[in-house]
Amino acid sequence: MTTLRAIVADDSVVIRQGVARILSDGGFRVVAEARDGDELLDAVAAEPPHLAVVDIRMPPGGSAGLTAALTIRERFPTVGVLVLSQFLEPEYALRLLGAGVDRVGYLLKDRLGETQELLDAAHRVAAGGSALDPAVIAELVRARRRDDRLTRLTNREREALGLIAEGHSNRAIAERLGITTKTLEGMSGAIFAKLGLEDDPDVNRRVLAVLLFLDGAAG
Amino acid sequence: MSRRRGLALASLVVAFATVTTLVGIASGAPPQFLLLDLLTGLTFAVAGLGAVWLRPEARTGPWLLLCGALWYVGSYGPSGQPVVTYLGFAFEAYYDLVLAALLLVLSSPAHRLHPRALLAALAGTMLARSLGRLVLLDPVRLFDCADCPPNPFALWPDLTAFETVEIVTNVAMAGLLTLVGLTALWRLLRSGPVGRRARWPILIAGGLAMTAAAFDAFEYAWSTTTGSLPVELAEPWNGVFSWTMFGVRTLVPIGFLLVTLRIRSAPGPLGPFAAGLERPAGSGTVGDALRTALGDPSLLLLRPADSGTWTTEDGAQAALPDLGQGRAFTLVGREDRPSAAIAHDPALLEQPELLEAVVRVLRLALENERLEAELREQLRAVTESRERIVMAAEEERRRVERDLHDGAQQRLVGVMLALQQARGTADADMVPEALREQLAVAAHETNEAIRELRELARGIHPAILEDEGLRAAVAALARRAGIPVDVRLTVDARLPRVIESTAYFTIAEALTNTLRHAGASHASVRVVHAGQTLELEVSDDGQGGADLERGSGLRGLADRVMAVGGRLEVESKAGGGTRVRATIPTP
Repeated sequence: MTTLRAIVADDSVVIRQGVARILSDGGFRVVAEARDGDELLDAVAAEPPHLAVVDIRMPPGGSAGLTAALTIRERFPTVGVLVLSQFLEPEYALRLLGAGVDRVGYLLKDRLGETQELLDAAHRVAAGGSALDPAVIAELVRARRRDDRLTRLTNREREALGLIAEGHSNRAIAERLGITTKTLEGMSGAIFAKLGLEDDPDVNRRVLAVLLFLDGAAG
Repeated sequence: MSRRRGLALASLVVAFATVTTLVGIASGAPPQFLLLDLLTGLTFAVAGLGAVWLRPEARTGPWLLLCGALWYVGSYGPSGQPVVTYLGFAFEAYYDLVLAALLLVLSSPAHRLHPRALLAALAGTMLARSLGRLVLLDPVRLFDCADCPPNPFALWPDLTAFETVEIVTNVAMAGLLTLVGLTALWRLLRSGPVGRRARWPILIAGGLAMTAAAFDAFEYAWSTTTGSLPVELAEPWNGVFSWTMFGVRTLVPIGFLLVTLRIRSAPGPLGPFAAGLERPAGSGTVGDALRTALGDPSLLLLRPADSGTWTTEDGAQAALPDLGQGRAFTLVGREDRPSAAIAHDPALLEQPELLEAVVRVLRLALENERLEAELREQLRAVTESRERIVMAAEEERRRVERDLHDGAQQRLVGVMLALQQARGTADADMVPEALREQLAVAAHETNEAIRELRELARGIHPAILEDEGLRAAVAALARRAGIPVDVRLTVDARLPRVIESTAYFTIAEALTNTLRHAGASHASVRVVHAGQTLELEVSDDGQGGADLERGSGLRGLADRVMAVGGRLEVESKAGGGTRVRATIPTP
């Protein structure tokens, strides 16, 4: 198995090094560190990594982080982009996602205190999946909480729905809920049916379907 | 002159006329002559009284009355009383002197007696004639006229001297009177339209008077020289001629009266002037209104500029003498600090009431204009400074938000990472459990601090508004509202920062009010950007009763919206929900 290469971009040296250490400890090889959007894009162009961890707010102008992240997603589709943000608003995450949930993640900086969560997300994104912060998903669910279809779900089902949206694999979800994968598959079938969505065996497409459903309230 | 005095003077003239007529009748003078004499004198009296009555302040009235009195001076020839007869003969026709003076005064632009020399010459000549007639003529001794009354004043009876004086003075009088008439004519031709319009009757009246007087004088001189009349006409033409001469004389006072009245009723449409001033301010308009009101197209409205110069309506600067050619000046406002001046046709000085009234209205108008401009300027300054204050506050909020995110929050994340690392290192057996627990607590607290800081920063100024625009920011507001909120937003492009944030905070505050006070189950937000207006409306189905004047939150909102030139309305009937509507102008 090849070592996963990662680039960490953050204008704060403490955070940059902290994240780099967590990633290194978690099996990544941090090949470059960047302080702003341009350095990040240069580094990615020089040697596209498996993963770029990007601070949403970087110089110049503060918005360079998100812009650079979007540029990487567009120009380097093989690079997983994990954005670290201080903003809870799902709009940022949804804009980052764009039309697909492949190789993308959006985590609040709070997660830096939960090493395992961060590494888990980093691995998922690097592997082609998605990782959305539970708090952001909760925001989306909150907006839809009065939706008839959502109220038809049991608490357990709603919990599963959140985990699906966060981008976890079936196995991981089943593990977290303490049920078997088989049971989870049944449950997710029920969830999709109640929401009027078509269940999809492909994880990313399933995540996207759920996110689109949840986003319905915002737009 | 007061009307009462005028009446007294007129009565005196009538008394003269009566006496003259009675004397005439007693001495068997021809009735048609008496009638004409009576009528001409009375016409002066009536015209004079009319002038006094209608224009008590004008000098024309008393002068015409004086003419009426003087008219009868020469009519005492037939009385048989030597003193009266010779005084009358010597001092007849002095009304011509008064008429000449009146003509010179009324035809001069500033209503001054000018040229005085001309009148002085005329007066001197007439006095010389009177003196000659008084002391040189004694028909009893010179002509052996036994029926004639003796002249008690004839100190040196001398026919040659008398005839010489008579010819010289009469020729001189005819010339001087013609000169007076020509002076008046010349002035009339030179004056502007205002003067011409008001004064053409004076030319007719004065010209006729001078012509008649000159003809009289000429006739005296002619008959003294040749012993015959200059115009010998067969009857009935002789009768027609003398009737015409009398008729002409009666026209004179009427002409003067007309001039006096004309000056009074000459264009004085203050109403239209005031109405003209009511049009949107601007000196051109005031000038136009002035020109129309005073009937003087050449009028200039001047505003004081620096160091004694004036600014004309087209913005040029000029000193008074350059502008003053052929014009009179009237200052508006205080003499030492005039607010304006008008350079106008001098003939307008003949209408002091009109001029003064117009100047008064003008002063008010200019004062009004100045105050209005001052007020507008103050309002502009206040509006601008309010906008600057709002912008500065807005900028400050953004800065604080950035500082919180990029400074404090980043550092807290750094602290958290360090704690995290410490916890990782502390897993070794040698670190006491208590310390590891404290590390965990510290990490948790730091995490909470980061979360609280995020909420705080968002309340100060939401980054999403700047990063993602009004749509995303309002959607975020709606999502966190706690009740279902419909959002309909038609805003295509990004708007100026201060407008976006005003709209955002208006919606945020309105939704907060809805949640806190309205007890609503549903709210809706509508934002439409069309043309140059951003309209937003937040409505709910709550209990209503919100008041712009009571809730400080709403008041603050209204201030904020007004600061960017917008308007905020709150419609909130008890039980009928609340509707907050704001209109904000956009570029």
